Amino acid sequence: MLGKLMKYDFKALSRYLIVIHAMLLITAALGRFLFIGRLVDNPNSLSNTGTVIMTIGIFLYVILFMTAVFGTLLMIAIHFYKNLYSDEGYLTHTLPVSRTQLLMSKTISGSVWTMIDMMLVIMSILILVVYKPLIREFVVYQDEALREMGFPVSVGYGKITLAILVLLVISAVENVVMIYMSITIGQLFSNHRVLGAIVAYFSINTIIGIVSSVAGGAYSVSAIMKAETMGDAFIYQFFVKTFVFALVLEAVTSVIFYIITQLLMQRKMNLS
Amino acid sequence: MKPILECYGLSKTYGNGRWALSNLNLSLERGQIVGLLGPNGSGKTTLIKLINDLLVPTEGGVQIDGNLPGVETKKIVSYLPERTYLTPSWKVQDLITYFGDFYENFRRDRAEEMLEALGISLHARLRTLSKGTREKVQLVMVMSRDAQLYILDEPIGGVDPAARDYILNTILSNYNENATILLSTHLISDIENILDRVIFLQNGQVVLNASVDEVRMEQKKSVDMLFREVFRC
Repeated sequence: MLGKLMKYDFKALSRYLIVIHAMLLITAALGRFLFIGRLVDNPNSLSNTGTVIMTIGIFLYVILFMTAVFGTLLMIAIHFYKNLYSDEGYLTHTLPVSRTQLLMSKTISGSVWTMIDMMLVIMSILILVVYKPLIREFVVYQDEALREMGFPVSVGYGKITLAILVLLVISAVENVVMIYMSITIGQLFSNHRVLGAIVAYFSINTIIGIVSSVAGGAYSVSAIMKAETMGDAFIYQFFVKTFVFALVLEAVTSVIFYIITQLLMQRKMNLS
Repeated sequence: MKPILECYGLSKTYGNGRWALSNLNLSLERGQIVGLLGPNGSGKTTLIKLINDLLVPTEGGVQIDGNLPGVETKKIVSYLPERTYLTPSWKVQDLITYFGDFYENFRRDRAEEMLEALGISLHARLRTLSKGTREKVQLVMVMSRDAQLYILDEPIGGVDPAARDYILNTILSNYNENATILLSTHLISDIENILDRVIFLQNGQVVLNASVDEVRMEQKKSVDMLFREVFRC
């Protein structure tokens, strides 16, 4: 049943998101070939009209970029709310599936789309800016670039990419689960349930911000106090530890949010 | 065999100091059509939502075929809410696939047959259908399941009289003898002839639970007349 639920959740989410992201990638590709590519080959090749069109193009790209990032989160929030807590909920909640399965399906589909969104957005930037001379430069200076960023050369780009991917996955899940928890908290009110959800979302965001800065600060201070030397190796070690600490913190809050949402759905269900 | 529906001490308040249901006790046997009748605000929809796991009771409980509302009861209860729960962008066909995907007891051929009789195309988008037609689609879906308990909240409210007759006939011809139908409505005279039993709700409590024959024989009244008498304003 989880598979069937996911099929319908993905279908509902993909309806608009595919179009938005396709437009973003197409705009990036057009910008790449029509303007950036030509500018790289010959910096003086654009006429005045060309410059105006390029400015409009950049503007369009930025708007699509924002639409993709915020639109994805908004669509995930709207789908969760509509499917579970509006009139549609009368059907969703009377399907022979458990609340656990409903939440799991929404969490997986929402997180996967958030990750797809992040990757496509990054891809659109790469389409726009990566060109051959840049790659050639990069190949020559790749070790130096690593050193400049404070990494030992032995770390390599593979590990860094992997770390960024893990961060993407965990942040995607955390963001989605936080949205779901806020909407479900909004349902505890007898009136103004959408407003309640929005207030809940921003309050939780603020609290999480404060908690993670305090925890992160305390963690850094204790690490520095324990340190014997303050060389490059220490800074790198410190960076890695802080990164792992942040990941663990995000993972733990995600799990807590998920459990709270699940309990509220099971014990406080009051469909209006 | 356990009763198909049992409510014990069932109470619900929405936290405004008013009890939508208070200490309601009720047991329904299989194989009958039951009218759940009462004025506006008497607790009919609250009771129906509690049976369908859309609300959590404040006190007491509900059992369907001996189980608390949950996955098992949802398999055997077919519910028509008073709301339209259809996704506007779907086609009628998508809804049939959806029901077929989730309900093992959904009979696709029966649904298609009824839709055809009502002149509703499978390719029509739900958004383009009139309110009455959407209600018909929803009722067809609900009645196309081989359920043990059908719960119909105002099933004929927004539908024209001709379709109303077809729907009532559909209800009668489609349900098997061991199934129970619990039906709430204001249009008592229209459905009186198909009811076996009536339950009158007032202020969240059962004020009458009798077979229609008893009402007719003992009170020498139709259900409609009795309703107007009991709930005179």
